[in-house]
Amino acid sequence: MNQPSSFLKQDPRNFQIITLLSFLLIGNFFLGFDQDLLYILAVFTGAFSAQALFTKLYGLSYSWKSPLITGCSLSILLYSNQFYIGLAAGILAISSKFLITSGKRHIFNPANFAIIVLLLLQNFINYSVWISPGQWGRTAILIFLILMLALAVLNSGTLKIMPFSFILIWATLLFSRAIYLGDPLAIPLHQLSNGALLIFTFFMISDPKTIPDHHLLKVLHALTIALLSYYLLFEQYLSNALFYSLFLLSVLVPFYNHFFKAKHYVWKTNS
Amino acid sequence: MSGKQILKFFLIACLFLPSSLFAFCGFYVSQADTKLFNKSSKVVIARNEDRTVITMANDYEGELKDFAIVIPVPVILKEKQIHVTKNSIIDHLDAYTAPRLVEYFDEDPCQPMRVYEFAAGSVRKAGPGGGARDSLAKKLGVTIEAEYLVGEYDILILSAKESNGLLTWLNQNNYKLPKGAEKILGSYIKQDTKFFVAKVNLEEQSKLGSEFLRPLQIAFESPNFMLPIRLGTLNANGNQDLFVFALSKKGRVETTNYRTVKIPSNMDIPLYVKDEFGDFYKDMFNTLTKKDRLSNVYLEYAWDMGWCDPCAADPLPDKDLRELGVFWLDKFTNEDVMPRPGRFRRPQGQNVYVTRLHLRYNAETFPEDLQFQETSNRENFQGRYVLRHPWKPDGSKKVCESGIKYLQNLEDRFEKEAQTLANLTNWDINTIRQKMSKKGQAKPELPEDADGKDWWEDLWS
Repeated sequence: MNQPSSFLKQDPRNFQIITLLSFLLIGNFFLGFDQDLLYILAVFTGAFSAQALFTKLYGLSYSWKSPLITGCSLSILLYSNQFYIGLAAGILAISSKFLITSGKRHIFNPANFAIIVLLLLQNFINYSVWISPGQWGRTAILIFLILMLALAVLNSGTLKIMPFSFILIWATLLFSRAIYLGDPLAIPLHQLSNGALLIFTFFMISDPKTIPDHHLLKVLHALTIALLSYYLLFEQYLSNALFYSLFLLSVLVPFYNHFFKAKHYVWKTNS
Repeated sequence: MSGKQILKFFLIACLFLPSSLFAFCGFYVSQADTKLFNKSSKVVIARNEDRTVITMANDYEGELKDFAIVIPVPVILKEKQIHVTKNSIIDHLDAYTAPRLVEYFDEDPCQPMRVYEFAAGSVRKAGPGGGARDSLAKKLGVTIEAEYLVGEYDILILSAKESNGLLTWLNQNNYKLPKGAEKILGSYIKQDTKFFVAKVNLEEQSKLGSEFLRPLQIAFESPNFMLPIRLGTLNANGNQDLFVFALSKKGRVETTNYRTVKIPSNMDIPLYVKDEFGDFYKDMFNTLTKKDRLSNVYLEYAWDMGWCDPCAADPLPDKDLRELGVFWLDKFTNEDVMPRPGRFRRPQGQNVYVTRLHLRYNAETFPEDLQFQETSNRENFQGRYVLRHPWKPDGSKKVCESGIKYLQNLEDRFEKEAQTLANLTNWDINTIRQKMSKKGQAKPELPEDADGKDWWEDLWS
């Protein structure tokens, strides 16, 4: 039986691609993300050409899903009014996947890598790039629930551990903070209703290639990311705390995998 | 107003406002008496890296002895970190960044094109803008960290151990807080926030000879780029408007925990709106916030402070920017720069970028304080509405073919303008059409010789 759900179950990336493409369209047409079309095209051009170049160099078969997912994440999260920054973001993201590796596995989530490098380099080179985490407004919380439900139904257990444990820990931290401060629960709920958090949870830290193989370490990894983010956000007032935390802690993943062997996740289809 | 010890807190960001006691500032169009947004407050934030200067405009009109404000601040402020400034500077900034109406005159379609543009007006704001106590404070866990007289204000910087004691102290000292304040104060105390409280020193105020209170300014360093609005949401009298004018070095400022949305802009609207631009903007904003269920922060203006086009008012001179806390400007004045009518450009980049944000908030839709970030986005944006005066044939000359086409298209154009206006403001479309037709924006009469003639009929005649 060829039902739509079987297409989605066939490869978790199919689900990611459909969701991300819808976000890109909904965001730009209804939520006023206001991204420049030329910029979005530049992101995809950068990602697809880097993918083509490196697969050729490494003699691999070309996979269009990875640059598409990375391109969508970058177009949704990263803003610039210079189209060449889009090009640079796409190229940086995909190149990092091939160049910064440990034991044939890339270390950083490609989109996360490009975001952090471009944000940091801005301190030295003059160009414009930023993240607008507030742009989803109250729609985010609804999308969150839909995605959690979809993920629970569609994906294999291995892929669920990271996003679910992270979001549970993060929500626990936010609610505990509110209870400690005596704040109304509307505040942590509002803090959870954040588009950047949503993309981060479902499309970045869920990337099975850049997280520990061992299930318990996945939970530990989620916990450390949440704790570091909490510290950076509420003690250091860093607005893109989540992305910095993931970037910093991704470096530990090769060590986790070295010392705690477990079955490595392989994408089901190789299209 | 009664002589009871009712306390009034006007809150920008931070102050409490039983609003019936106030005549709020607003924006006005042309005439000073056309109040647009009542229950509004204005805050200017100049910030670069962690250094922050906040200016709070204050249009309090009640009895001065009843005036009181409470503002959460991140650190204990020294005397030199507190200042008062002139209302006129904020009025100037308000006028410079206000949504504007521009006018174009269609050219004779039978002649080559020329373009005129000038500002027809802007939504602008009018007008100028003891010992026993200490020991009691100690018992309540409240510490008076500092006490200053700055301008016409008596200022105390308080820290507290727990909200109940602070609330009791504030109430005993005539800072009567609205219901629900205790929890919010408690939350701020746990985050190690200090409290800046001020009242008017009547003696000093009388020396000034002015009935208006001047804006209070505070300068401090904090990595947290935020504006506390939670105490302000306690006001039972419904929604409040807040204008935030951010002066930054890199580029546009936006909220990170709420959506920042551009107001609808660059739209052609009927000519008669020139006479009711204030109502237009107010109703447009009402319609917009209602549709979005008061959940967004609106961007009304984002521009390099060096220039404007068209100008609703000239950019602020450097000395006024410095007064508002733009500490990164060099100490030189630019008053020798002559503005050209309608447009203005400074000879050099000023590294001052202004963002004007407008929000209508209440406790339900804005539960959290506003968190901001400065982005490197220097793309300019302005709330700009366009009046297009149609070309009219003068009757003495024959109308050319493209002239006839132009006239035939006018009816559609007028209808489109009417629809735009109705959508933006929720005004009745039929009333709009009637008013437009009174202004001459109705189906144009085609010249008699235009009927049914082909282009070649007069070719060899």
